[in-house]
Amino acid sequence: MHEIENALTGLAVPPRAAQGDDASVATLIDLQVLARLGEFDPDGRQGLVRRVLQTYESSLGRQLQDLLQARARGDVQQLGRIAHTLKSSSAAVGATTLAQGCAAIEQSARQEGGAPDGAELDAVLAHAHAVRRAVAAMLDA
Amino acid sequence: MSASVPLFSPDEQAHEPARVLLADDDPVTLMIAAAALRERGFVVREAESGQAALDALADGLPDVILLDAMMPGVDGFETCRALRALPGGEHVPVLMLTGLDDDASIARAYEAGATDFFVKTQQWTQQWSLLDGRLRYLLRAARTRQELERSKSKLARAQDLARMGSFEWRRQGGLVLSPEALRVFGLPSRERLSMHGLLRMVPAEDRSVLVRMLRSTLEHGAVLTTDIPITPSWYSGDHVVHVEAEPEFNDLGQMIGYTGVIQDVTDRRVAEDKIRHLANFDALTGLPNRRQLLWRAERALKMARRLGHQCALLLIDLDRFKNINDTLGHQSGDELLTEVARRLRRCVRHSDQVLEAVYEGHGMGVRSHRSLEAVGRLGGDEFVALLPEVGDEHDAERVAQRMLEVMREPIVVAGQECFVTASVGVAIYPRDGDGVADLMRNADVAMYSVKATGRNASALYGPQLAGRGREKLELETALHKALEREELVLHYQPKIDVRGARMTGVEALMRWQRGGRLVPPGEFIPLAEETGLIVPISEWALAEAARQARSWQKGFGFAESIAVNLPSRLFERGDLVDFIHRVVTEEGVPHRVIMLEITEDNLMQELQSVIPALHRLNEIGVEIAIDDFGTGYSSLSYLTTLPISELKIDRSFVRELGISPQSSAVITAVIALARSLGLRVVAEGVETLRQMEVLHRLGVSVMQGYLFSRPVPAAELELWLEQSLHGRKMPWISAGVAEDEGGRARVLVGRG
Repeated sequence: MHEIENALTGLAVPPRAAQGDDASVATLIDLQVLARLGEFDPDGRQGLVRRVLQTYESSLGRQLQDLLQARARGDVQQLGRIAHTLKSSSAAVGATTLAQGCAAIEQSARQEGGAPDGAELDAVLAHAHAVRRAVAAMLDA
Repeated sequence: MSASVPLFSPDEQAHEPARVLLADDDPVTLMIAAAALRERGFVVREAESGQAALDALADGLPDVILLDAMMPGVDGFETCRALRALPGGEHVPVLMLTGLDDDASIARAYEAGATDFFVKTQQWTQQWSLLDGRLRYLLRAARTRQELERSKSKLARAQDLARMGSFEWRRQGGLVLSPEALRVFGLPSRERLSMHGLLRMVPAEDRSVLVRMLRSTLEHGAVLTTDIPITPSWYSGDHVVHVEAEPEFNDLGQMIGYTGVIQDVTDRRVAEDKIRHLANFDALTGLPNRRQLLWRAERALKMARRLGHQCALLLIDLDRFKNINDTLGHQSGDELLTEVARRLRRCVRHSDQVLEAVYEGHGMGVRSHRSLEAVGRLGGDEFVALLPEVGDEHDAERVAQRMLEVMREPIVVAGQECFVTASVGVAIYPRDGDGVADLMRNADVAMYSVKATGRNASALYGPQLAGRGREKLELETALHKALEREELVLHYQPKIDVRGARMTGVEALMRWQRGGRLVPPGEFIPLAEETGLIVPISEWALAEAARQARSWQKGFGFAESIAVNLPSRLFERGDLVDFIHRVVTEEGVPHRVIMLEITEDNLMQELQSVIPALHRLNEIGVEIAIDDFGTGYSSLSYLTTLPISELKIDRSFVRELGISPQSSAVITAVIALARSLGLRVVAEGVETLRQMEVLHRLGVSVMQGYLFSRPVPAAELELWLEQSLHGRKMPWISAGVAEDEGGRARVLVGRG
């Protein structure tokens, strides 16, 4: 866990003792994934993890808006494409659950004549907002 | 510029970090993947779209490209397709990133020209070693391919330089030539050349042989190695193409075709032919040379031994060729030799080319050794004819006669008609020798015997000729060549009139410079007489004396005579007078500069036949002296009838002066006789002042001997005159004899 701390230097990550209390961050973002990312920038000089999270946060915000618009238009294809992109970037930063939700939407969007289930979509959107908040909080430190 | 020259070996280049172009529209993935690859040692350039990737390519090609397949705008497939159209872009490895289970994308990726694909799983951004491994594999494959391309182009260039190319021939599909191979035939690289087209280039006379050979090669599935002559209409001259090909077989062991290389070997062939020709043929006449002829002779003897027949070697030597060379110049001499060669080869069934099968001894029939028959040139004016099979010696003699006959026609060189004769010696295998060397030597002996008996004839070798010792034979051979090699020289001994210390003439004495040694005449003149070589040697001496007279005339006003010793047999020749006339005329000196000396013995033996020549010589102004007088016939009556001018008292009488009273009696008698006939008297071999004084008292004033001067080379004679006569330093001058006449010494020779 020591490596994780190193990698996440400068980020508002709950201290180890408090992790169990702040269950929301731990369930939203797999910190181990972020820690592994940090290995590419061992001494943190490039601020890689921070830059990745910043990029993720801003693109996530954009994509959430795009998702809402596509949904309003009933543009299933666009919905699928956005889900595809969001899926891989979410997986890359450790938002594993969100990535799985995106994969499901992408899958149903790609099926002939199919459309993502409304409730399912709502859940993913809500989760995405939570992830975004968590990331923003981490960056706010 | 210099920086772009690859100074590193491929191995060293391999240590340079590989450059990766990475294109993904998702900024998060792009950033993470770039960081991961950089961490693994790659140099990464990021592109956030297909268009950005294409823009980046404009700055230079990376070593490998990673393309996200699904991108808005220009997607991965389109980017890949555009890359492949760029110059050099066709070989850059492209790894297409596709989604899981996206088979359609995978197929499209290959269609677009991607090298490989990589599936982006949920965890792909956490499993970099997989991607890393894939990238390194692609890079290594690309490098290997590049090296292969490079070595292929090197091979093509090397083939081009070597005028070489490769080809394939398939039972189904025919002939396919590489561009380099087409160039060998002088065809553009896109041309197609069928087997028929190729065969059409082969001259008709070689085509059927080639076709037969190809058929047999195909039938046996054998390796093909052959030289093919071609004369395509678009080429000038004949060309030779070397072909080497190996058969290829299918799994069932059936021959399906050939793969091989062809090479234009015209230059090599020409050079080889030239070398072979130079090594075996005489450059001047084009006839086989000594080496080639001996080679043929060895083979002919082998065949004769096996088949039990006879063969003949004829040695042909031109008569007096040296005279022709000297008179007309070497170039004319060469022309003459060329014509002689042409005539001689007409006398035999001359073959220039020897069929290989002859010396392999198979396949060509029993009479194949006939193709060895030839006339060759041994060197100089010596030729050899090899008759590989003769019924008996008469066959060989007939050929020899034919050779003498064809020489009868005059040969025109340098606008002059020349009459050439030859002496031919014949040796027959096995009668006259078992090996080539024996036969050559015996043909030589027979040829010399012809020379000795007057030339322009042929002779068979016989045991009667073999009696001579080897040493003598060698000497004879060497002497024969001495003239050609200009080994003979004349030395001159002055004749002095002691009354006036005056030189009245010189006697020319022959010397042979043989390998650094000066051979005195006593050692070779008898042999020269015996073999007949004395004739050309004497002729040479006459011409040389005339030349020397001319040279001295210009040098110091020499106006006396040079006495040349001639054997009687030369006087018998009808052309002696003409010959002397010619040599003095050529030099522009009067006839009287030549005086001839003939020994008393010699003269007496041939008296009757010699007398007419003596008269004619006298008429043109050439004086005759009798040499060694007093030793021969005592009867002196014949002297009255002979047109002679001088008597030379034999040295033996001079030596005995003061010892034996008889000698002074002889000398007194000779002087009396000479006076009554109006002849001059010369004493030879005068070595002491005492002898000189006695001779002088007896009435001889002209003398010759070591007291005055030994025989000296021409150049030294002038020096001697300067020092001895003009300088008046010699003891015999101060002895007072020279003052006798009028009390005053006179030097009448030269400028004095």
